[in-house]
Amino acid sequence: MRRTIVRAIYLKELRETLRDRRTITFMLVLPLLLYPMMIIGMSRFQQNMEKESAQRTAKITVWGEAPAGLLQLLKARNFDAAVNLGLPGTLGEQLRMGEFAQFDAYPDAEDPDADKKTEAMRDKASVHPLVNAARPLVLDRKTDAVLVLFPGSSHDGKQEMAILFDSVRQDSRRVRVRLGAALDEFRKQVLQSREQTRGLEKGFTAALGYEARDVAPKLRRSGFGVSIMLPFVLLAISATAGFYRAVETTAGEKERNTMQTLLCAPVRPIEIVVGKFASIATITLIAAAANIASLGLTFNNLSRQMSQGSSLGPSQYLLVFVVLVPVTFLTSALFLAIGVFAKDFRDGQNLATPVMMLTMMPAAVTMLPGVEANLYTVFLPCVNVALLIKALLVGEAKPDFIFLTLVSSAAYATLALLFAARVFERENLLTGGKDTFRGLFGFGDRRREVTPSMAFVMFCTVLVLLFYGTSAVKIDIRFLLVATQYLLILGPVLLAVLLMKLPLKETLALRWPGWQPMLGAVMVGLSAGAVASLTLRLLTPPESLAKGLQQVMMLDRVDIPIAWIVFAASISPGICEELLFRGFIQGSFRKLGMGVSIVLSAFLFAVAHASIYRMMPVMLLGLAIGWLFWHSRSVLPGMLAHALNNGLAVAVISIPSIRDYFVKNKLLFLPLEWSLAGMAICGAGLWLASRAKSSASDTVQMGIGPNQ
Amino acid sequence: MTNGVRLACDGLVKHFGAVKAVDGISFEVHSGEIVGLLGPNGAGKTTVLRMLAGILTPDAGEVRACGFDMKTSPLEAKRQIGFLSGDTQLYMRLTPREVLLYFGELFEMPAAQRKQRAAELIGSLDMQSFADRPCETLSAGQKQRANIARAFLHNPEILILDEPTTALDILSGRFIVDAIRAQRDSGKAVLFSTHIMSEAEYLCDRIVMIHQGRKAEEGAQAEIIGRSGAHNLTDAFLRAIGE
Repeated sequence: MRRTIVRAIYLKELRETLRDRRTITFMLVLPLLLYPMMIIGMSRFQQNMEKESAQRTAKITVWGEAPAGLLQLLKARNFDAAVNLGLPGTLGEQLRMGEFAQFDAYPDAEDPDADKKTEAMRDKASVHPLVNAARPLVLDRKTDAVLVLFPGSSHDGKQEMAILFDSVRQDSRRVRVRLGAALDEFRKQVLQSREQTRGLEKGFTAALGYEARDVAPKLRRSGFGVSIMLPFVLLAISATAGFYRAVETTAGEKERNTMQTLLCAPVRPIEIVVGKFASIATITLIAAAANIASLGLTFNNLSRQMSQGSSLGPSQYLLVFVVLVPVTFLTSALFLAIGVFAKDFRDGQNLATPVMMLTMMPAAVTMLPGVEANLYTVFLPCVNVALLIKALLVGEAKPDFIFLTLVSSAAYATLALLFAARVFERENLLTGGKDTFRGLFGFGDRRREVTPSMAFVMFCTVLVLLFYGTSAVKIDIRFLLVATQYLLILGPVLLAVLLMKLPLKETLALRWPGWQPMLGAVMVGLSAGAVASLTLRLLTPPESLAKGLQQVMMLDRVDIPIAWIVFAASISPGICEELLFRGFIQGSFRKLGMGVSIVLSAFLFAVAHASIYRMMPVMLLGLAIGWLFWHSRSVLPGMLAHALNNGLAVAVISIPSIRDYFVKNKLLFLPLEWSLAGMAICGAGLWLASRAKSSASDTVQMGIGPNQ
Repeated sequence: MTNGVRLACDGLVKHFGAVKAVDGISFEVHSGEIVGLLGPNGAGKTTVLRMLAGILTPDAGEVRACGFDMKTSPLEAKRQIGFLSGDTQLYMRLTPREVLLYFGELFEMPAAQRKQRAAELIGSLDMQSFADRPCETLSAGQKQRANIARAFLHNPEILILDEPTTALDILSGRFIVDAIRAQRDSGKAVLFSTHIMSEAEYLCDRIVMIHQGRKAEEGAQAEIIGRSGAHNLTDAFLRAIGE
């Protein structure tokens, strides 16, 4: 891939976009105008309405005989109370004679059948003669609510009342609330006067009182409002901003036949994909930034005006933007790939719209109250980002959630980009023809080796399987650990080898490397832990992680024999993880060169351990094992080193005398001298393994090596 | 390399699904000649030209441009070719000059050289009046001139032109035809497809006729007319395709 060509394509795409008024409007003008107009305008409107309605005299009608003092209190509280307005004579007579009883109280919210019962009671009330009589008065706005006073109580008894109101009309709803508050006040007055007459202590009848106070800090409170809407809006914008450009630059170019002009220039498909992808991602990110800025400024301005706590700072918004980057890449790559399938622009819109809806709809779920990020959602594309943004805004995003969300989103984005690159290699599609699913995904090709894209797809599959597999199944940890290794890690690898009819030994580098690399592996395996311990000094993991690790190593279980622990936590990972990360994945990266293949596979190895705190130590181990694999062209030294490394960790924690030494000396990590000695041994092991390189490549050159 | 083979294809085959669109086509184009590719609609002309330009990969057979194999050295091979088709449009929001500079970059021409070459072509193809207007405002003839300039830009040894005068009026069509002749005279190898017989008669040194994906006839105009016993190229063409 040539950078100058990618740059030329990128700049040309950007230039075209910037000359397209539709995109510019959508990207910049719309967000800058829309939010202030919508949010400030609407909140002004609402404020005015509230002000008006607060100042407005509430019109109510009182049916029945009002107890002394109630009408004065209502008048003082700005109620315009008409007595017996619109009450038909016969009905009034019936009410006075006590023919109507109080309505039943609605059931408790705790009641499991509350909804059903409430609905039945509503139906019953709707045919009540009093309700029938009140309905036209309230609906015709002659009154906002009717207060029914049931007779039949003595002076010291309980006065039953009912408020009849219209739940659809706002004025009526408000009056119901105000009336309720006025009646509460009236009740207090009555109780006080009863206490006085009876000579009871003040508060005797109230018995208890309480007030509630919010513990949420200002930042959390002010973030909450934004957090409901912002994630969905941002994802929707990210999905739609790149949408037009992606369809235009693929289906549009096909329609105008400019795609074939581009293809007959000396340009590689991958350069076209990357150039176009980068331009779409740029446009989308600009749109996202404009939206975040406009929405942020509007909200902050609004909350300042309404003096509702402090505003969110730029750092929160910046974080939100960063989180949005991988999801932007995902949608850009996806639209780019889908656009190619379309014959023309219109066809492209038709094809890409369902995909856009699919990305946006799950994100809409995040607007529901109570939906929060958890370990299950971090792997759901788009939803994870929406939930993370929500958590960031209320200040409760945990580092592990951020890490896992970013990692999984980046993985999805990479998959989408690989898909786009694959689509752009299909000339039939680019020149207006059709392609089969089989052809597109290369199922028809008889490949004899694993490609880096296949390895990456395998990595993502295992990652998702591991995640959901281990959280969904509830079996004893001793079996779970072994099942995870063999079914979720090794299983997919073997299945892929079987389905693609790949040669097992060559694909997974199962060959004897000679004694020298194996000796090197022993040295690496025994010392890597001591080296990795250095990284713990930089980023000390929380106690919960250490506990979790102990659980994984089954050290909290005295009933499990040590041999099983060694098998499950040391030998099995040594075999299964090595076959995946070195045999399958690093083997496929071999063409990318030593540095890239070792670092990339070590990185994926570290990411798969799903914790930001374990990232560095695991990465170090991965680098060392990757080195062994590169030089020995065999997966066996890695297996040995990996198993020894894990076995040593098990030994350190499970052998009482060693554990006691650590506890007694309050050691969180190994002493520095140990780490330094470890480095020396590890380095010697790596050197020893690399010395064996010449013999390994000689074998290959002679044509008897399995990789030949 | 005077009169040497510039463009050669051998045994080209291309399927679209179950349909065999091109079936074993072979021919050569030499420097300083215009070869006309004639055939009725659906004969496979466009598919052959796209394979020659490196836009489509043949299922079998090979293409060589100035000795470079399209399969093994596609970038080198494509550098030798200028491709133009009648229905190709331009980037509507760019100006012709910008289009030329963009393709100059794709052909990895140094900045100064591509500017100079663009100016040169704008002058020689009489494009000064519209070179800096967005392509969406240009007439069909103006657009095709800009397209021609784009195909000539990197001064390729081979020109592959797929019905370049389609949808053009007589004046614009003649302008393009003259430009093609000028290229031939300067030693370029030109492969030209058309269904306008008069244009083929006027332009082509040699003719390759294809029908239903196969080569039906090949030779100089006079030879083809002589072999078919017809009086003109149109009749010879009709006989060759069995009408």
